[in-house]
Amino acid sequence: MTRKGPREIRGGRRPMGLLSRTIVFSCLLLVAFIIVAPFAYVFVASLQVTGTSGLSWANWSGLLSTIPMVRDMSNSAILAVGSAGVMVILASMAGFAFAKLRFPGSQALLFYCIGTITVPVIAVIIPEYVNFSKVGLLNTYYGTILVYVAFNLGLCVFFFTSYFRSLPDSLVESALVDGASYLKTYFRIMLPMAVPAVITVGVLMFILVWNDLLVALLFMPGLDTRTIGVALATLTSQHSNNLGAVTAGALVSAVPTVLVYSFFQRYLVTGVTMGAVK
Amino acid sequence: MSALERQRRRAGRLFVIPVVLISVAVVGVPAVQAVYYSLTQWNGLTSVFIGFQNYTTGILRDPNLTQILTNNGIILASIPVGVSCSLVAAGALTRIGRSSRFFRSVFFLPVAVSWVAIAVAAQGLLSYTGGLNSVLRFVGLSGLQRDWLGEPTTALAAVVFTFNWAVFGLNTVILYAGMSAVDPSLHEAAELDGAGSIATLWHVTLPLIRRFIDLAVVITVVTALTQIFALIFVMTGGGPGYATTTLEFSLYEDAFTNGSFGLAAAVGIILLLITLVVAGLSMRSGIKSGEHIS
Repeated sequence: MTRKGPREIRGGRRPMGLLSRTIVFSCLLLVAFIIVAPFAYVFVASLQVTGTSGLSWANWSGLLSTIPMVRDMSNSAILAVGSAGVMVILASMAGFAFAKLRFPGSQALLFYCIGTITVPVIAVIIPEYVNFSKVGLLNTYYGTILVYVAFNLGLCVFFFTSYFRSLPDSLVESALVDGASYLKTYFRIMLPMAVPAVITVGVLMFILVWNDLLVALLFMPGLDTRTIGVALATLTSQHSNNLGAVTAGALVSAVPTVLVYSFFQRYLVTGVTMGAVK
Repeated sequence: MSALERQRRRAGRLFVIPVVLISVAVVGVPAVQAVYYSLTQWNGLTSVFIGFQNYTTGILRDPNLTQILTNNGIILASIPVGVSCSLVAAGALTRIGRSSRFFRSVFFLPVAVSWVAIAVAAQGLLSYTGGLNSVLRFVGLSGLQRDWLGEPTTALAAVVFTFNWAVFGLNTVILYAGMSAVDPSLHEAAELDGAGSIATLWHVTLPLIRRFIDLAVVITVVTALTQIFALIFVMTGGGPGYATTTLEFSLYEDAFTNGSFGLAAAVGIILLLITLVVAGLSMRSGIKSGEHIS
């Protein structure tokens, strides 16, 4: 390896020689192949019709008659968008208060909220399910959204609180001096300032809810209210010989989250690494 | 206290009320209920207090407990291996400059795809008529063909592999974020001192990204314990037999297949305690590495 001029040094590291660069690249390409291959395989499988050789679009064109995709996907969309919206509003309001409007006991409440991060849904899902069925919240969008929001509040409140803490207090002070109410200060000043945090939390919630099975399976069991995830999971056991339709459905079901992911990848990475940056 | 300050405090309280109410009603209350119901025989409607019998007789004397804990143990034991792979990949990504963006996008892709879709893909690949057997036939290893999800050992191996495959990209991206934040001059200094790539990674990078490694391990451990229900539900249904049943999956079976809600609540409490311990350990290590820095 030869010393290069400072201009050619990226990130301060000595550039690799051609040989090691080729080896590293080939290894990464191999890993990329291992990641992508199953998706490619699933696509090919979706073109195979049981009992025939050769490929056709039959599974794709027959998809809507096998799985009521439109209805199931709409249910997923209502839950995912609803949870993301409710979460953004509630968590940002609380985060604003915890960061800028502290009152006696606010630290303890923040601590409680963050503490709920350690309670996994599965641990309390049995009493939750029984409570919800008693008060008639099963098979309702708002009931299920409530579960999704409640079990992810801790992380999102924490995220907004640290975000608002990084903004100067003078923003709030000057708005209040100008005569704005607290609600107005939140909506007109703080929320617009927090757009990156809003996107991160919204995108995380959308993907998380869209991809969930457990809560949807228990809280939205009705045929009319089931999500695309529940539809696919139950179809897999029923139509085990109809792999083509299920794989086609699985691919379609992944489209919204993969799209959201490709548009907002940067925010998603911020979201998952925030735990390490305090 | 000024009127302004009183007003501010009142506004603060009003702003946090919705969050606190939801959190108490939907997380706090059922958590307390779960503790109580774990001490009862409960079918969802009527409950009879039976003390610790769900724990002592129900869980500890469960003939499948050893199998279930072994399954959980094997999945957990695979995590250091998986995270190490991510560590190597993240290290490689920091060395290839701008093209790392492409690889990061590809590696991260499974994070956007649901466990259900991943499990459907795995099922398609690993069934007797699936892709893996076709490949084996193609390369002349027909003897190795089998129903991968139908035999206990290979079924568990398949779940373990699929799980690690799915979280690989997330961990790689977390560790890459950590490595990119390391001051490049430290590497330069190490290399000037004659340290090779591996030595630099081991002695310089690893200690500096401790926090990120901890985060990756904690996220993966918690996911493995409490969030692979969907993977197992679709891929194997916990079988064959109990070969791929984990604590989490057995909770679902106890409640919704066998109607033993009290027993399921007890399993839930065990899972809760385990995650609390994991969270506590990670916080302690966070404090420790914090002391290191200051």
